[in-house]
Amino acid sequence: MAIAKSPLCWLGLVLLAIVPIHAAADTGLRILPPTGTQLIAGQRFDLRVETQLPATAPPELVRLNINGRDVSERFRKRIAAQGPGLESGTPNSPLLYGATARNLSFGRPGIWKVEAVVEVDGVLRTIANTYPVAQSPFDGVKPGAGPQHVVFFLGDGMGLPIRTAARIVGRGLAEGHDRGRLQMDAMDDYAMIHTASFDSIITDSAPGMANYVTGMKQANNALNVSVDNTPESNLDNPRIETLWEFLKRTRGWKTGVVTDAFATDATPAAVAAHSRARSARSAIAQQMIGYYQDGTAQPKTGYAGLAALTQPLDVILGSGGRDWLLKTNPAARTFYQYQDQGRADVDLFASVAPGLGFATVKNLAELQAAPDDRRLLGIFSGEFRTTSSGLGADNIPAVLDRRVARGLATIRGKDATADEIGMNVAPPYGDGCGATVADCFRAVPSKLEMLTKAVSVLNRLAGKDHGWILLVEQSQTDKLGHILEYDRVIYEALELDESVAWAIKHVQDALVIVTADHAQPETIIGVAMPGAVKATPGGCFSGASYPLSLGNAADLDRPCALQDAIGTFNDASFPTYVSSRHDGYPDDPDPLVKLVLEDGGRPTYSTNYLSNFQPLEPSARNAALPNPKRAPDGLLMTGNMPTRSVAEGANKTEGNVSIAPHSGDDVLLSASGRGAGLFGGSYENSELQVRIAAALRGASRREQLKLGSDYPGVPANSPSADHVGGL
Amino acid sequence: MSEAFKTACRRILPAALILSSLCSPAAAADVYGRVYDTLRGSTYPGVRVRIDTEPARETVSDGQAQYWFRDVPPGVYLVHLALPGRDAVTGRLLVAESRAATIANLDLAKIAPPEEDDEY
Repeated sequence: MAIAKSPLCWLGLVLLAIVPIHAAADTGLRILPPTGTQLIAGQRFDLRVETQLPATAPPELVRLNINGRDVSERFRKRIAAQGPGLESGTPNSPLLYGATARNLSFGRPGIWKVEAVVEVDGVLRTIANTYPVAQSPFDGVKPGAGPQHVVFFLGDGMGLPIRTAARIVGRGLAEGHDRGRLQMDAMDDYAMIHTASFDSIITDSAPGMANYVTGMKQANNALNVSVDNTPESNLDNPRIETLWEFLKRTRGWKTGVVTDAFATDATPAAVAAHSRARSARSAIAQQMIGYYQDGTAQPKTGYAGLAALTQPLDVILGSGGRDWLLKTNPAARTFYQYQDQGRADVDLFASVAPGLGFATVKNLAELQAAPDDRRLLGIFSGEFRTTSSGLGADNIPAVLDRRVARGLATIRGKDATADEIGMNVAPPYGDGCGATVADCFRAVPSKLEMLTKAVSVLNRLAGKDHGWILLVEQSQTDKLGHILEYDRVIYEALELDESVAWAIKHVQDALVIVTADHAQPETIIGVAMPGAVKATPGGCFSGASYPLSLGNAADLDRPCALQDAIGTFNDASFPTYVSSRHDGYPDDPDPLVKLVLEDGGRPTYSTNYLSNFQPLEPSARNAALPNPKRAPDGLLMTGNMPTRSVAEGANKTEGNVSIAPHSGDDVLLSASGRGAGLFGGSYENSELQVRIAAALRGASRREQLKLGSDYPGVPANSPSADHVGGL
Repeated sequence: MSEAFKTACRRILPAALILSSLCSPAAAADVYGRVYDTLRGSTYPGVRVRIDTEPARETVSDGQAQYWFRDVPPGVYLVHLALPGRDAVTGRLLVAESRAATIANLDLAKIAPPEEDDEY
């Protein structure tokens, strides 16, 4: 078929536009950071030039121009001083070119152009990148011009429907009017954020957060690094300084993270760590406290540039004991309830962190007793119930389950003493965290309890002379969304909102931002009265075996009554959640009339619209089969997740995705406090950092971001290459 | 020739030229890539790589985990990886006609599902 007559030629117009790499086609020659990275003056980055296609003879850098001046000799000297190998990102193959100069900076705001010329097989190849560089937060500004405290709330995977659902469930409606608003509904300014990563319209949580705090579009799974041509090592990629690191290095600000995920997870790691692999958890933990040691997951040799870049956090609160404790430390098993997990090299929690000045705590009582004048590392226990699935011992139990443990909520009328809840039993591997699961869950601090302590410590450590910046992540809005635990997701959003309200009220001289790294394809479809309809005897498709033969006589004779439990469109009415404590949380996630969410991307699962007594994975061993432990008499929801990664010749019974995905939707960002007026609009996640920098300079109106170029906070001038730091 | 016609030509011709270059009979391109997993920091030599051209072609990644397909017509293809000890993995490949070579690194961290849900 002639391509001219094919739809492919039209498709080509689209597809060519999405080729992700700004690189020469003949060689794959590219400069990193990627073109368009939005830096702030003085922000450190690694400058790398590399080829991707092997030549027949070793390629050579001929020229490297920065704003018209050839700096190739300075670049070569810098590479020589660093030495080959990991420090400079040297490729294994001599037929590829690749060199990284570490920790450079553009010292003046303006438009910076970098052009590289590399000789490949006798031919000169050229590539050029452009970097808009915004004004520094501090240069030429009086101390105290901007806010001295920044609280950055990140609802992981918290798309707009979840914010809406939290308002409906937490505040209610009557005759179409909200009975109240969330704090997130009452902020000073709002924006729509475009969340794409460097290499996908669907970001994962690593670039989803890292793009916000660096100005650089990053690849999925990457933490504050660019891609490169040395996939053999995921710790040598060209790096970029985060805003947290920048503020600490240049002005001595104190920094922190608070999360209910494992503390090395992508979002908290995105403010403090540098790795092509978000999965490098042991090394990330070391980077977060600034511990480099040969023979450990994060060696010292080969990483002088990395050690010079990272800045240890002052407050780390989260979970995931296995990244911090030796496996042989009894607490890994008896307190954190890992069957057989922990570090193999060094005990960061018991020995290294205390030696670096951290107070270490494991539960609420220890947290509240910790001194305010020391760095703080709090690692709490997770959702370790062996009858539950989806969160696991790495992640703090869901808000709903913690509230059940504290006697503040029930699930379908059941409290913590009920067998179905699974909290009236001893923990599986010892009683270090309490005699029963309920005791252990009660001892896990809430988000607000973590936040208030983190602010106390940061205030004390920073004193009057320095500022501080804090990330507060609500992780389980994402993790519980993945497993389609919609009711629990809403409780997570309510806990986040409670913390936002506290921060706005109690943190002085602050800029408060609330956003998400990405959404999930969840949406509100109506209400349900699950208690009013008996489940279809035998279940809608019970007894069916794979492959399902839908539409056969047996199925046609068994219509699923649960579909009639749903009220949609005109018949949706209003839910009837009750909050007898008037604290914004429903007493029980299953009132007579409850909100129903569904997912545009999902594995096969079944639902009866009732809350699960414990979090449960939606599917069984793969995306095609429902989890038989979850609503076995429920309505079968067939999946639409990819099933391409299966063994050849096999049917789709193994090896595919068994949780709901992220989506490519824009997310909402809200801001309050000093400088909040800078944040309205519709823009990319990588444009946020320059707005925060402008707020720290004391700007408060969006017009102040227009300095002559097409980029916010960036003047149109072309600074001299004399102002390249580090070269 | 009217001014309006000249203006229309100035606006339409560049787009038409681009379109015609895309839709003219296409030159085949070479496809090059490496097989690796950025989440593991691992490269994979000796992997069978099959591309669904007509007829399908197959090669094996070399000692540097590199593979080549020569003279592949522009288009979109599925590419299949057979790794010893792992499930087969299928990725998608766009061979763009305007590029001298298509770089198609096959990163299992992207095209295969994560081993743990926490890697989302």
